[in-house]
Order: sequence, then C-alpha cells, then structure tokens
Amino acid sequence: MAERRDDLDVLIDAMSGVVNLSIDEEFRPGVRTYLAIARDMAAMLDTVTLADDELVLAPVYTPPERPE
Amino acid sequence: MIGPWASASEIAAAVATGEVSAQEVINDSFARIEARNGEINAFTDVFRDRALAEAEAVDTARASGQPLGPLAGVPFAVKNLFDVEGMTTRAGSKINREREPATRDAALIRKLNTAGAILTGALNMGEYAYDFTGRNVHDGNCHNPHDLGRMTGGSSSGSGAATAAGLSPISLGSDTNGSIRVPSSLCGIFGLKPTYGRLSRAGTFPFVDSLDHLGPFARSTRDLALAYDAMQGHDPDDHACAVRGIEPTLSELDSGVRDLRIGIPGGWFGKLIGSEARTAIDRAASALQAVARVTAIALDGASEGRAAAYLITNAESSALHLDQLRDCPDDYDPETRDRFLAGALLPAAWIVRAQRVRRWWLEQMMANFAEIDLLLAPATPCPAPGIDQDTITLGGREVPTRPNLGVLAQPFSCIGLPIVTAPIFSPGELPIGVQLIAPPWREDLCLRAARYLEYEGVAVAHTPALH
Repeated sequence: MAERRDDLDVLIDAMSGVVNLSIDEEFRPGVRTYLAIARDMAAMLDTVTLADDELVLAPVYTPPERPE
Repeated sequence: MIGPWASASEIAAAVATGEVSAQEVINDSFARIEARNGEINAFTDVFRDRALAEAEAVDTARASGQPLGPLAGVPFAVKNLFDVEGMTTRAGSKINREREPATRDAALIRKLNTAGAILTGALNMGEYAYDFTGRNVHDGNCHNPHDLGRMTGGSSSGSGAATAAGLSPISLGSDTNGSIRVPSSLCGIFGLKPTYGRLSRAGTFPFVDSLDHLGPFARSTRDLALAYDAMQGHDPDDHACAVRGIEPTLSELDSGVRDLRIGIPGGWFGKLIGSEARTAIDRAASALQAVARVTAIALDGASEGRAAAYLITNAESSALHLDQLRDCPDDYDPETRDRFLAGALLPAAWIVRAQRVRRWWLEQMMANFAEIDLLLAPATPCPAPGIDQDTITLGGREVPTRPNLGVLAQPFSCIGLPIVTAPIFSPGELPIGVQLIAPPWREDLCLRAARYLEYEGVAVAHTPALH
C-alpha cells in the first residue's frame, strides 16, 4: 500500500527544491520521521508565552552571573 | 607497575616520586589497550610513538630536577573530533577522512600536555557527534564495559568506555546536548560539562557552535577537577571562550555541601524516568539531605527548553553540513543522515522561536537559582539499552533511542549550565548517573557535591564486572 502523503511530504518537496537538496526516495521515510519530531517540538514552543517586545536571534551569548 | 584502576593523581604522584617512570606507565597503558580494546572498540587510533616520546620527556625532566606538572605521566585520550597534529580529524565520519591532517593539536590537548599528561590515542564517537547511543557504522559500535551487549551512550562513546574500562584515567569529550553526560551515566563514571564558554574548543570539529562544550571524564572527582583546572583559561582562538581568569576547583573540592539548597525537579522529569533512575536520585538525595537543604521544585519550562535545543541543533548542524548533504548523502551514517536532511528543511520561524524560548528558559532557570544553589536531576531515563535496541520507553511511550536517550540532559546544555554527572549504582548493577547542575560559572559547586557523594560512598565508579 502506498504511504499517505501529508503536509510533511509537501514540505519536503517544496523545501528540498528551494535549497537545492534532493531527497532520495530511500531517505524520505527517515526524513519524514524526523520532520514530524521537529514539528512536535515546534508545537511545544508555541505553548510558551513570550513578551511581544523581545526578540532574541543571536545564537551565541555569554551566560549571566548568578543573581544575588 | 601501575594498575588499570590507578587514579590520575596516584599516577602523577608515583611518577613525581620516581616510584614508576612515565615510560613504564605508558607501556602498561598500551598493553591494556591492546588487550581490551578489541571487545570494547573505544580507541580508533593509538599514538604509541608520540606518547613514548612525551613520556621520555617527562622522565628526562624529572631526572634533571625540573618541576613536573600536576598530571605528569598521566595517560589521556580524546574523542576523535579533537585535532591531533599529523592526524586527520575524522569526527566519527567517513567524509572527513579526506581532509588534510591537522597541523596543530587542539587547545585542550596542548593544555593537558603542558600539565604533563600524555596523549595515548583518539576515541570512537557517534558520527559528527549527532548521537546518544555509541553506534557508528564506519568505525563499529562502541561496547559498554559493564555489559558488552549494551550501549555506551554517545556521542562521546569511546571516552566513556575507555575510562570505565581502565584504559585511560582521563579522557576528553564534547557535549552539545548530553554527549558527556549520557556516556558518563551509562558507563558509570564521572563527567564534567563546564559552563558554555569556559573551556576552549579551538582545534575541534564543530557540531552546533552555539551549543558545543568540551569537558573531561574520570573515575574520581579529584581527577575530574585536576583535568578541568589544567584546561581552564581564556583562548582567543575560540570566539565563544569567555574572558575569565582561571578559577581553580581542586583546592575547594572537599568543602562539602553543608547548608547548600538543592532542588530536585519533579513533573516532566518524574514522568520520564524508570525505576533505576528514580532509585539513583533517591540515594543521592538521601545522602545530601544529611547536611544540605533538599527540596522538590517544579522546574517549569524544561520540556520547552529541550524542544528549543532539539530544533536549534537540528537546524544549525544541518546548515554546517549542507554542501556535503548535497554532494554525498550516501557517505553519512544512515542514522545521522536522515536527521541532517530533515534539519535542512525546517521553517526559519521555528528556529527563531527556539532561540527566543531558549532565552526564556534561561530566565526561568536563573529565577530558580535565586532560591537554590544546585539542582539534582537524573542523567538518563534508564541504564544502558541493548546495543541494537532502536526504541526505549519514555513516560509510557515507545520512542526512538537515538534522539531520546539524552532527553534529560538536553535542557541544561541548551542554556550553558555547568554539570557534573556522578555514577550512582551498586557493584553488579548496570550503571546510571545523576546530574548535579549549578548556576553559570559555578563548576566548583557541582564538583563539591559530587565529591561529597563520592566521600559518602554513594557515587562510585565501580569496576566493570567483566574484570
């Protein structure tokens, strides 16, 4: 039975073309599995209430001193 | 002759007094590696000529009355993502074997050499450090010295196995999401992941620059502190290395934990762990509360912090590998390739959100550190799974082993906290460890707590039963 195509397949097809990264059909099930995990993680991040006037983009930072 | 379980400090003392020569120590070390490495597969390279030359230099220095370093004559080995002059830095991969040999040792190797320690070899690891299991299709799986049919944990698999098996009193590894803490736990030894930015990463092959840490493994807290102190210091060759002076820990190691406030997280952590991890936490808590103030805390935000770590890791590492993923995807270990490919396709909004949640999670933890001095948490949800075991059970759900064995370690490296993993198990049992987590730059606190547990006989790197 053919596997059901879903949003993740759409993402794979669209993004792999955009970033010029071909995904061999042999690799697709594994890639889909890990994209599904990433989607679950992203959904978890959406549950956090963040201040709307703050944006942290820098990937490298110095951990602060401990508060007194 | 120095036995396989001699500590680094005992070896250095014996060399300093002339009880044994550094050359004898190194020859004995290579004899043990030759005898045991075939079944464990911890070492991928041995540097016999180099090590013997270094040992001869130590012996010559002693004979001429020159002062010796605190680690004089002590063998050590490094995860094979460290540059070793004249060797190709393979980082657990097939692809990197085409690279030119390194022209200089990694910064931490140079630091340990300066302290008198002697490099004996390079150690197995999960490909490009994207691994919690210790499996590697190119170099073969690394086997747990406590049960050869079980995983070492990864990605610093050889580091955990070599030190647990008595093949290297000190080894170095890297920890991006738990790669020092998971093998420390599963192999039953001590490991230190310092604060992000504390130790130089210059001359190592990166995985996720904004999350990568380096640190030592040892069979005692004293050896851990000895190695850590010898490696401290600012290094302009690592852009993330903090401009801080050396803050020695060894002299305060026995200061104890009296009156420290120690929190034990429930909630998410409690739901994910099995009975062995729960017992380890209970044993450590019981010993600590004799002198410290131990309380349960909620620790909200850890699961979200872990999710942020997962996505940042996935995206950043895939970006590093994008050219090779395009050119030679078949040359990757299949267990890492599919994750790298997925990471190259993630929406940018997820990653930006992950960075914001990472900052938010750090703020939650810093608020906790206003109330507590240390956190005591399980290092892994369970002891070592079988080496071919593709899934584990977490909170009643069956999940893939490779991305989940480090689930309890991931939230804390994401925000750069210093952590010692301490082994809490009885002889004959499979090892498991706990994390002692301190505020940024307070490695001394987690080392002191681990030392206290060691002194009380609760945290012990027991000899593998196979010996």
